[in-house]
Amino acid sequence: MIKKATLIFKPYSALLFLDNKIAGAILFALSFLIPSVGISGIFAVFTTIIFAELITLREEVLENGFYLYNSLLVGMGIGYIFSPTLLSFFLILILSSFTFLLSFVLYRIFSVYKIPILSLPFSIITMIAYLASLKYSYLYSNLINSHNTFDMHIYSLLDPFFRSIGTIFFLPNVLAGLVISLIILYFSRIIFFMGIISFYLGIFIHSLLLSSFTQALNDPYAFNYILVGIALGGIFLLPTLKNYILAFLGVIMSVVIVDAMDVFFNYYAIPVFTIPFNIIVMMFIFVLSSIYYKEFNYNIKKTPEKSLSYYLSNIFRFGKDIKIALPFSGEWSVYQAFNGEWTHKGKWKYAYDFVIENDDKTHKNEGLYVSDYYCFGQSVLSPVNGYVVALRNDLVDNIIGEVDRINNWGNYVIIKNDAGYFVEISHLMQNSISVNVGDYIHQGQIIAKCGNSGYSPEPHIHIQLQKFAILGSETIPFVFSEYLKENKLFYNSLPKKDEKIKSLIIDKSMQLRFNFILDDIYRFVNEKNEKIEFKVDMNSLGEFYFKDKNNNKLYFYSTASLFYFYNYEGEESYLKEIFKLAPKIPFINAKNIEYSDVLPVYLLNDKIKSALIEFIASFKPSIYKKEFSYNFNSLILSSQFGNVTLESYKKGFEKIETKEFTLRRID
Amino acid sequence: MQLNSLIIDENNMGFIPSTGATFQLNETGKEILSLLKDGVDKDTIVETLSKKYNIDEKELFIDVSDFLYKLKIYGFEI
Amino acid sequence: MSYQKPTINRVDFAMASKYGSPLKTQKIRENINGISVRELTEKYGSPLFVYSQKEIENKYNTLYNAFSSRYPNIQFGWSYKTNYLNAICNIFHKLGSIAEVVSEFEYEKARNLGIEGKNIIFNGPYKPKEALKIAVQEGAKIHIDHLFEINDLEDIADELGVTIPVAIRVNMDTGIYPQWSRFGFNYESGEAYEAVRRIHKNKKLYLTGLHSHIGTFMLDANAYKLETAKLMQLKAQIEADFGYEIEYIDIGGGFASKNHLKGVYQSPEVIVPTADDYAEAITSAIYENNKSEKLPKLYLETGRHLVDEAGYLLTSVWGYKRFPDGKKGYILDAGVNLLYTATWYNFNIELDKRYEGINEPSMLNGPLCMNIDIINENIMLPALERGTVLTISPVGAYNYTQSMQFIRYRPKVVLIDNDSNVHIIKDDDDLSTINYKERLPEYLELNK
Repeated sequence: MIKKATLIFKPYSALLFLDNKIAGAILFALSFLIPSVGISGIFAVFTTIIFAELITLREEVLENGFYLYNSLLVGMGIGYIFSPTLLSFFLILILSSFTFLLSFVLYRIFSVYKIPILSLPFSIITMIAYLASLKYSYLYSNLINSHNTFDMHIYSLLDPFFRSIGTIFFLPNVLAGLVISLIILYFSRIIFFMGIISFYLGIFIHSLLLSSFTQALNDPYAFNYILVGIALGGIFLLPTLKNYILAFLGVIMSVVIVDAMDVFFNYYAIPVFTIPFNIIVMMFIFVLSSIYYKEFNYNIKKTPEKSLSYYLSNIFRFGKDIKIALPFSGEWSVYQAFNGEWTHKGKWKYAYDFVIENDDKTHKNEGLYVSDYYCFGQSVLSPVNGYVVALRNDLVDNIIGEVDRINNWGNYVIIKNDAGYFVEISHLMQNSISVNVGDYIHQGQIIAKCGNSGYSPEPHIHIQLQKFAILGSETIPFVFSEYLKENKLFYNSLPKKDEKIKSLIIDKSMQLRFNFILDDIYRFVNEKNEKIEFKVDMNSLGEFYFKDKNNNKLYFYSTASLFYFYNYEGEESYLKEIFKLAPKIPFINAKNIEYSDVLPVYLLNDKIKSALIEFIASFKPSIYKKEFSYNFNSLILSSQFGNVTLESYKKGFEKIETKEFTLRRID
Repeated sequence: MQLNSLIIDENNMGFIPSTGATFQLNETGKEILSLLKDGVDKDTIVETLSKKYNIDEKELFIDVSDFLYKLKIYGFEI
Repeated sequence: MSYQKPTINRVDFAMASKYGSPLKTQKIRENINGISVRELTEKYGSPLFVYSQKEIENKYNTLYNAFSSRYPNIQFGWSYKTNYLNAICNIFHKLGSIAEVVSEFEYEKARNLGIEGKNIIFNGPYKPKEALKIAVQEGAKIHIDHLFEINDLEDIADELGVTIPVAIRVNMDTGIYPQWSRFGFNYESGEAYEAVRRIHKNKKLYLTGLHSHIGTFMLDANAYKLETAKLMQLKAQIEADFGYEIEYIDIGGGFASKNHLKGVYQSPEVIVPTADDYAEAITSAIYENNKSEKLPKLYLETGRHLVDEAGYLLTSVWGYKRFPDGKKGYILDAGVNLLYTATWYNFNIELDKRYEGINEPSMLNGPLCMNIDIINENIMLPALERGTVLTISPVGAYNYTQSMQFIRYRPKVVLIDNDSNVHIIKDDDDLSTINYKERLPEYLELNK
């Protein structure tokens, strides 16, 4: 029941694109600045919840705020013009239920096109209400002509801004606007920034068109500019510089739309409400999501800062390129890289050639025979998990001095990885391919031997990535997920020509140590002998996380070769420290391996510094890239933050140690 | 087979036209063959070559013996 | 004009093939690890065994890494019977290997090098009781071959008043032929299980490990997968039924080297599995069949694979003659007395320099006055001279240990270290070596 109660504050904060109960509670209280607005608003919310109970709708569905905030707006809209009477409440009851139905219908239709319904239901319903009420004379007698509420003056240029902010809540009041602005500023600097810039930009453009600044400044529908700016500059698109510019373009477009609708609707004396905002934002979202715009916010988090943080930390840590593992074991040298001068050109420029060198030579003796070449006959390993889609096994290995120009790929294997890309490996030894077309193979599985078939002057492994399964198809760029150069582990990188690199073989016993299953519980004691527990849980998106008793969440994921944490939600806690201590762990038998990782800013700094960095990151993303070094030796991972120790025969960590605390595993 | 049936060209390749058999010789081999065709006996061949190339007779004896034995094995009459 | 030995060769055009003309191709090796072969024979004599430390370390590290990157608990045991030269054994010990011995003589050799008993694996069907007792006292890992050995060990346990940790050797069907079924206890018939029950009954010995060694020069990595799977299954069974905690499994040796087996057409690079093939087969079988909480320690007794390609034999041409069938026969100063394994392998023969002229069918014979002394029966070689140095490889495995004290003195052995310095690790035998243990009864002495 309490859970249902807190549901009430959600729609209030949702109007500001926020998701915070305290913000919602303050806004709820604020709504009573105009009592009829406040009462009508909360009444609308109640009726919607009851209606939902009536048709026994699942609770999670209500958590999708749009049902409730549209009703809230409808309620506030009614309360703004009609003083609370039994009849107005009755009207609200009908309309909230109607809003609920309309929201549901619109959601079903729009979600097919991946467009959010925003506050369109509210706009439509309230227009309908205002139109219909022209006939309801009894209600008209209770029309509120003016609102005599307490207000204040700050500065003539700023007052309109605050008043507009308040108008979003049907509280066109400088004080209300100021309080709301402070709430916004506290939770998200980006929302505040976009709101205020968009407002004045819109006003400025409008003033040019109207050739009157004051008229533009006092336009009652200017709040649309604020909403467009926030929606496009921080919520549905990532808050990056490019998207800020897009948002401002949207704001400018909305100026014209506001005026057009204003003229049109004036005929029926109905306000424009948020229709311009809805139209512009929906159009932008539809177009950008359809073209898979790279900086679209695919993972909307609680604030734009968190969305940007999530996006940047993943870009800096994992990159956007397609990743594959190295197709060999041991230490090999790069013979040719991307854009190699001999054969990696044009359509086939994204390819790598590898050989084995000893004493700077790829062969022993004179190199007159294939058997002199160190890599001839060495195992070729699969670089991905996937299905074998094509292969050729019968071509002979050329003697040194001869090449096969007709079948220039030689014996090859083409694998379709789980993501749908095709990996092609060439010049394999005659009859050495040990898998068949249609087999599902795993990363690291031995599939063939290095040979000298095809257009190959000396034995080597050739590997490339293609969009299509046909031999000779155009290559696409990729990176290698992990490799060792001397003792440093490189992630998602490309080695250069002549560099000597070692591949990382997956140690299955390491994989077993990170096989965390839903509902696993891991128990520790700290230095004060207090018991600490972490439990594995999963959210509705299928994302796994560790949870502690204060509901802090540390999200994790594993690939075939790597375990990593990628997101943290909550306050200061042990879990937050663990993210810093072990952001990623490769599944290898490590002997003094160094690697670096970028940690999200919110892990490292106090709230104020984080806020500053998160704001500047929109303009200069590199400021978000804070890299730290880690040393992995035997089962201990250490860094400047402390160290974690893994246990030979248990899952998870055995010991977690920093300067401030030590957690030891018990069970 | 008669030695005379072996025809040698400038590339040190020898042919027997009647059978089509082909042989590869080197300079020294060619020399010994021409000496043999002239009827020179083994010991004289050894002496001649020893003086010409300034090689110890004892060593040359082994080389010439081997060459003549090879001819015998190929069926030539010596 | 310079002198060239006279040659005449019949040309057979059918012989020219895609793989280079057999009439012209010469395999040449002027150096080993940067040191000229002629210099080596001039300085150290001929014939001469030459070992390359760099090659050994390369092979060891590659094989070790192939295993250790897939499995957390690996230990190599150097197989002394493959090559028991002290210097070679110590190279392996310094790389981290323990010792694997199959006789009391090898056991003593290991101890003499300073290897502690607990770092010696003692295998073999013949373990004299005295030697066994010493092994027990010194803490060696004893791998039991038959029931008599169990009896002997229990006697020793009584004598010394201790309980002895032991392992048993197991044989099983791994799909290959021949199955080495005469060593250890058979798995499929239940003999192995019975042996454990026998050990368990008297409580004087306790089982800590399981050992198996399925063959030699194995060309099929899958056989190891089966071996390991069956050992792990036996382990699970024993642990469940007898309550033992089996700490380790020892899968023996048998990994092939890049030697050319007689009768096999394909080249070694094509048919010999790589270190990864073996490692993947064995480690994946352990993970798949592991039923206990802990993963067992994995011992490997690799010998041939690690040392064969690091060993060379330098031999000089003493003379030659022509056989009635036209073939050229070379007499070398090394023969089957030093290359016992020539029976099964066609070694690489490399010339010390390029020779003029085309190749002719030749035979390589050793110095022994025995008709079987043939190193290579039919090989295309150019006309060689007296004193030509031939390099025969790979001969690092078994050839030294199986070489005969027959007709000729056994030669020097040198080791080239990682900085290309040459060290003599064994001197030539001489008369005193041969007469050392002989005793002539006085009445048989000839007039002084």
